[in-house]
Formats: sequence, C-alpha cells, structure tokens
Amino acid sequence: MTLEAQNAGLAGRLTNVTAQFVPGKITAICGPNGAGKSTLLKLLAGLLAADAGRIEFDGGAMSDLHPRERAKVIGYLPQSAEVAWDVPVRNIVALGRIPHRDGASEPVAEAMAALDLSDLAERRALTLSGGETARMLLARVLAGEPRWILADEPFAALDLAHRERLLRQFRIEAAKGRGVVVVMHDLALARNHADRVLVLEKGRMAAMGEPEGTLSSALIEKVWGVKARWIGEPGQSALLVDPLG
Amino acid sequence: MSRATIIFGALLLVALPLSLVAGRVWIGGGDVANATLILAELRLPRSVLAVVVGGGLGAAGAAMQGYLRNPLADPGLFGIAPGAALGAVTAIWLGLAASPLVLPLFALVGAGAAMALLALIAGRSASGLGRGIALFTLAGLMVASLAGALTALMISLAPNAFALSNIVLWLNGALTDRSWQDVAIAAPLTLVGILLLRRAGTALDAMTLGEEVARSLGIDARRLLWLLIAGVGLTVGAGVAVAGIIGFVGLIVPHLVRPLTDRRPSRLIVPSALAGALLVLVADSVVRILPLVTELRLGIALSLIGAPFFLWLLVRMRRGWA
Repeated sequence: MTLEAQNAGLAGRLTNVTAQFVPGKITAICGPNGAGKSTLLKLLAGLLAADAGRIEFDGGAMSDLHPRERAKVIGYLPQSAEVAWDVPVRNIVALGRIPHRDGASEPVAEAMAALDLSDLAERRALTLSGGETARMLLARVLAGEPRWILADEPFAALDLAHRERLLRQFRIEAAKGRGVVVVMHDLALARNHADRVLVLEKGRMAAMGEPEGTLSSALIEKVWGVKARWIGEPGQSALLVDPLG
Repeated sequence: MSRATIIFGALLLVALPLSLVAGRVWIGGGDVANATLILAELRLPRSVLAVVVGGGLGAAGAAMQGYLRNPLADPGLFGIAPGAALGAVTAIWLGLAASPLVLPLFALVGAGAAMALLALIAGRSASGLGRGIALFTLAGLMVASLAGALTALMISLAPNAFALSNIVLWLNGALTDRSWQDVAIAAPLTLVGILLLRRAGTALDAMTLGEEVARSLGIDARRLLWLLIAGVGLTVGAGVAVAGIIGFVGLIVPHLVRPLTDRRPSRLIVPSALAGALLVLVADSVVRILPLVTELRLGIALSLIGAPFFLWLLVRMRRGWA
C-alpha cells in the first residue's frame, strides 16, 4: 500500500520529484504560490499524467490503474468544489460511493456521523455555511472509504474551530491506517500537525522529512524569502515573521 | 419510480386522449367513418409525434444542464438543431422536399454532420485539462453559428418565392400534417437517444461537484461527452427532422421538473422527457384550437411562452445572487 513519486515531472510545472508517502501518516506539502503543490497532488491522485518519471501505486504505475479502481483507493478533495445543484447533503456525501457502484448507505451514514452531519442529512447543500460545506465535502471523500486521502488546501476558507475539526478528522483517518496527504499554506499547521513535510520550490523538491527539522528558519528564508523564527513548544509552535526588508 | 415520473406520466396519460379530440373538426358524434380517419391518420400520429419530439427535447435539456452544471443551458448549445435545420433547408432549396422521406433524411444528415464535427473536436481536446467543457461549449456555439449563417445564405439565395416561404415556414417548427412515417423515423432514434442520456446519469451526478471531482471518482470524461453528443444528437436531430426548430422546450422543462425531484441530474432525465412530451402535446393541441385564420406555428407558440419564461428565470436568479 505505497504511494510514490519517482522522478515525476510535468513540463513547465514540476521537475524530478521523488518522494515516498507513508500510510498511517499525515504528509504536508508546502511551498510558495506556484511551487507546484496542487500539480503534485493531482499527479498523486491520477488526475494529471506525469510526462517524466512516474507515480507508483502498490508497486505498479498509477497510469496503468483503471480510473474506477484508482477512485476506490484514492479520495481527492479539491481546493474548492462548487456545488452545482441544491441536492440534499446525503446525496452529495453518497457521491463518494460512485466508484464502488454499490449504493451502500452504511459508509455514507458513517461518514456523515464522523463529521457531525447526521442532523443535516436532508438539508439542501447550498444552504450550508462554509464550514458545514467543507465538512460535507470531506464526508464525501470518507464515504468512498479510500486508502489515501489527498486534500488540496482544505483549510483555506475555514474558521479556527472548523480547521481544528478537519485536522482532527485527518488524524483519526491516519490512525486507521489511511495515508493522508494535505497541501498546506500555513507552515505552523504543517509543523504542529503533520508527521512529514515535503517542501516544493519552483517545481522542484526543496526538502522532505520530519517537520521540526525540515521547516527550519534557514529553509523558510531560502524558499519563501522571509526571515522568520519559531517560538513555543513542539506541537504548539508559532512562526514569528520579521517584517520584510 | 420517482414522484416526478409518476406525476408527469399520469398527466401525459390524461392529455393524450384529450389531444385527439381537439382540433378544427370536433370529434364526437356524427360521421363515424370520417372521425375514425381523422383520428387514425391525422390526429393520432400528430399527438404521438408531439410526445416523441417533446420527450427527446426534455431529456436532452435535462442532460445538457447537468453536463454544463448550468440551469441556463439548452440542447441548442451543441449546434445540433441548427445543423439539422441546415440539412432540411438544403432539401427544400434543392426542390427535393416534395418526397416525404427526403427532408427528414437531409435533416438527419445535417444533425449527423454537426455531431461528427463536435466528436472531432472532442476527440482532439485533451481530457486532462479541465477546460474541456468550456472549449467544447464554444465549439458547439461555433457549429451553431456556422450552420445558422449557411441557412441564412440559402434563404437569401432561395431559387424562388415558394422555396423561400417554405424554408421560413419550416424553420418555425410545426407538427401539422405529419404522418405515421414521421413517427417511424423519429420514435426509434429519440428512444435510443433518451436511453443513452439515461446511461450518463451517474456521471452527471458526479459532475455536481465539478469535472475534477467527477474524474477523481473514476468517471470517464470522454465517455460522458460521447454519450452526451450521441444522446443529444439523436433526440434533437430526430426532433428537428420531423418537426423543424422547436425552441425553449429543453430549457424550460428541467426547471418545471427540478422542484419535484431531489435535484440530482440523473433523477431529472426521465421525468423531463415526460414533461417535455406533455408540454409539446399541450402546446400543439392549443395552437390547433386557437381561433386564428391560419394555424399558429408550434415553434412560434413555444418561443412566445419560452422567451418570457427565460427572462423571468434570469430575474429570479439575479435576485438569488444579490
């Protein structure tokens, strides 16, 4: 149950990324805007095809996997998903079962319960708040019972409580043995909550490893061009940024 | 069977016999032989054809709105109806329309050409880029304007006044004087088209969260596009071939059906077919009994209903956004 990038690249966007992702762990992908974070996530999700190197899943090439088989094992949560129709929340969450073609209601109910959506099951999706929508979209991914959860900046529009809620859920899913890969802008979130961090810079890998050692002041200055230092305890660190210039 | 399917199915079952009674010659009592002839050879094929054409347009509209994730989408966006119209107008222009089979066949060839052009564009577009749908919609619009321009050219170069008036009349779709032969052409094609669109249901549901999520759920974006091109091509192409241009049905009908469903695109296709059948059947019965000197063309009547409805929809959506 491995997910690996082997010298993976995509012309103009990503070059020579080699990384192993570990099930049961939360891996954060960090980097400045345009560094190729979303591109890497889409390559891992099989939504883009690498034109150099390859993405390997369970020892075989991701591109050899049938889209439906791929969809059963990889759940992809995009940066923003506009809900086109005002369907009940339950039906949105149930979309996660599409790859399984079983219409099973139990995983759908479980996913809704896990994200405190059971009371909202019959509510129309477009009447939900931003935080409720984010929970619904994650529940949709969980309903598919994927082995990997790939999420692209899921915290971007969320308040503190909902952010913590999603982070806690990612931790629960990782504890179940699922691999969780999350694109994060917030370096403090990555340092405090991720087990591993992959840093991208201009489409290339700048670093990968344990968050404490990897996200050093020196690396932050090199990659983001910002002088900053960490304060606080491990697991509860905050990043103090020196004013630019 | 969903609530919407039952409601529109039942209404259709009530409307169909009523439509047979309506017309310039009121059926009931009197000359039985004459009445039987009018019923069997004129009114029944006309009503069945209204059901077939309306059903195809309704299903195509529901599928298009689901695919483009837009309640303002119309099957006309694919350029298939203008393509079919161009084929039919060519037949009239060449003076071949006197034989009853030639015009529908030319229209089907026109629809097929539009479909082939779209398929060619679809086959070339990279499926992994996400802008596929926007590109494809633009391509459909271009096919539509090209066919429209060629049709206008034919009108301006019409060989004689008779052909000109025939073309213009035909472009304002109607179901007047249609026969069982037209039913035999349109019904099987429309049925296959609706079945293809139904097959696209799950993929259309997945599109609710966008093309990217749909693909991450294992939906084959290219297969979905093929189903849409073939399904809309068959339903709309067959409809235009036997009835001319009948606008707005595909646009309006899904809006009438949606509130009666849970709004999932897959649950909209069959009830929209039934509601489209009902709308065209009722509209055609009404134009038949309106006390006008000549019968109001069905295409004009539906546009007269459709355009204000569309405006009302836009106003309502604007309010929703404000």
